[in-house]
Amino acid sequence: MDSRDAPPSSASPEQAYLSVRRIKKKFGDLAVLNGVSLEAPEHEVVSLIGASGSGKSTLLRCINLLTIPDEGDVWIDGVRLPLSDPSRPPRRITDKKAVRLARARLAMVFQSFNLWAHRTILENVTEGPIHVLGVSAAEAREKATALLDRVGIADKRDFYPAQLSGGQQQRAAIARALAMEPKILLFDEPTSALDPELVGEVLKVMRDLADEGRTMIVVSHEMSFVRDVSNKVVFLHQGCIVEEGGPAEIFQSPKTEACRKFLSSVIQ
Amino acid sequence: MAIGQSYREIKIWLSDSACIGLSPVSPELFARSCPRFIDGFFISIELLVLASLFGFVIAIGLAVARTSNVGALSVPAFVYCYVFRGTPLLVQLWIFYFGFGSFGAEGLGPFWLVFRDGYWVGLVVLTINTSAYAAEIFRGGIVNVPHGQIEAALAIGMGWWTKLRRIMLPQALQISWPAYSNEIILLLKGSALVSTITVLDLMGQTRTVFSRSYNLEIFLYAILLYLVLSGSLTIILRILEARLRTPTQMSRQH
Repeated sequence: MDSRDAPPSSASPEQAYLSVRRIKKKFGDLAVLNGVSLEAPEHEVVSLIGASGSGKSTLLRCINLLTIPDEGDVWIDGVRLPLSDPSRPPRRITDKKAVRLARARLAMVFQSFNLWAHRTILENVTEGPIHVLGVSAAEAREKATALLDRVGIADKRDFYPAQLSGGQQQRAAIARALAMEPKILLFDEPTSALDPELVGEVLKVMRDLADEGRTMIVVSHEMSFVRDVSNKVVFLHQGCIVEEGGPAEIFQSPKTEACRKFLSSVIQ
Repeated sequence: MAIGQSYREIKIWLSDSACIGLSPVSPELFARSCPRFIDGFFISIELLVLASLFGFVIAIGLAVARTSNVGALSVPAFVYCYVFRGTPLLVQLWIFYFGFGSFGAEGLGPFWLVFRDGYWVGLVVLTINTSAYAAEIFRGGIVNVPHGQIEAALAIGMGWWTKLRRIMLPQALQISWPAYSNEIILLLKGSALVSTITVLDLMGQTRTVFSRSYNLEIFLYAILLYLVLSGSLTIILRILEARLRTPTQMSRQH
C-alpha cells in the first residue's frame, strides 16, 4: 500500500467527507495552484472566493478530476482518488472505474450550464440515472419530473435547452445534478453567465439546497449569497489559500491586505 | 434464398410495370432499351445503398479512431483516410479489379470469389472510398461537439463508451449531416465509374445501348434517370436531416 493511500493525518475531527491535500497545478509555466488543502465536512457549504485567476475554479475542477492536479490528492469518504505517482509526470487516472464512481457521487454545476443540446430537459435529467446509475427509465422519469417541479421548470420538460432562458437552463442543470443523488454538489460560478435579472432564481434554488443540509462547494462572485449561506469561506490569492473562516470573520475582519482589497472591490 | 428470390421478382415486376407504363410517352429508342435502363438503374441503387450503409458504419469507427489520442488507433485510421481520399476512385477500382484480380483463383484463394466479379469489387471499393471521405466528415462533427457538454458527461460519471454513444455521436451526426448528404450524392455519381470494370449499372447499360445504336440521345435518358435518383436521394437525406435536428433558439416558445 502506497503511503499516500493512508487517510490524511490532519483530518478534521468530524472526519470531512471530502478532503483535498496539497494540490499543485501548473498550466505551462503558470502556477495556478500552489499546494492547496481543503476540507468539506458533511452538510456544510464551503465557498471559494477570490479574484479571477486566483485558482478557485481550477481547485473545484481538481476535486472531480476534470483537471488532474500535478501534485496532491483528493480523498472522498476516506478513499484516495486513484492518480499516478506525481514524481513521474504527466499524471493520469490509474483506475477509471473508481473515478467514474466518485464522479457520480459528486455533481457539478457549470458556469455555462453545459446541458446536452440534443436532448430535452427531461432527458438531460434522466440521462445520468439511466445510463450511469442503471435506474429504470420509468423511475428516472418520475424522479426527474419531481426535480424539475422542484426547481420550478416542470412545464419545460419537453423543451430543448436552446429554447430556455439562461436561468431556466441553469435550474435544469441543477436538477440534472440532483438526479444523481450526489453526496456533494460542486458549483462553478453558476450565476456568472446569467443576465442580472435571472441570477435570483438560480440563487434561490441553491439557497434551498443549502438549507436542507446539502454538502456544497461553491465558487461564486455573489458575495451576499456567499455571506448568507456559507459555513466556511475560503479566500484564494495567487493559487494559495490566504484566509479561511466563517463568513462573518472573513467579511467583517479580513486579516490580509489581499483579502481586504478583494472584498472592497466586489462589495459596493 | 427466399429473400433474394422475392427481391428478383420485385425487380422484374417493377421493371415491367415501369416500361409498360412509360411506353406510351417514351421515344421509340428508349422504349426498345427500357428493361436495360431499369436493370442498370437498380444496380446503381443497390451499389449506392449497400456502399453507403457499410461505408457509414466503417466511417463512424474510423472517425472515432481518428479522434482518439491512442496513436495505435489514430495513425492507421489517418493513413487509411489519407490513401483512399488521396487517390482517384477510378485508379482504386482498376487496381482492385484488374490488379488484384490478375492473381486469379490460385493467388487469391477464397478472396477470388469477390475479386472475380466486378459487382463485388465495385461494392468493396465504393465502400472503402466513401468511408474514407465520410470518416473525415464525421471527425469534423466529433471535434465540434461543444467541450462543455463532454465535460458534463464526464462529471456525471460517464465512461468512454457511454459518453461517445449518448452525447458525442448523436451531436456529431447532427453537425455533419449536411456535409455527409453531399458525400452520398457524390458517391452516387462516382458509382458510374464501376461501368469501367464490367458492371452493368445505369452507366454500364447506357454504354451498352449506345454501342449498338451510336445515338447520343441515349445519354439524355441516362441523365434523366440519374437526376431521378439524385433527386429522390436528396429528399430522403433532407427528411433524415430534419429528423436529426433539434429545435433551436429560433423556435423558442414561451
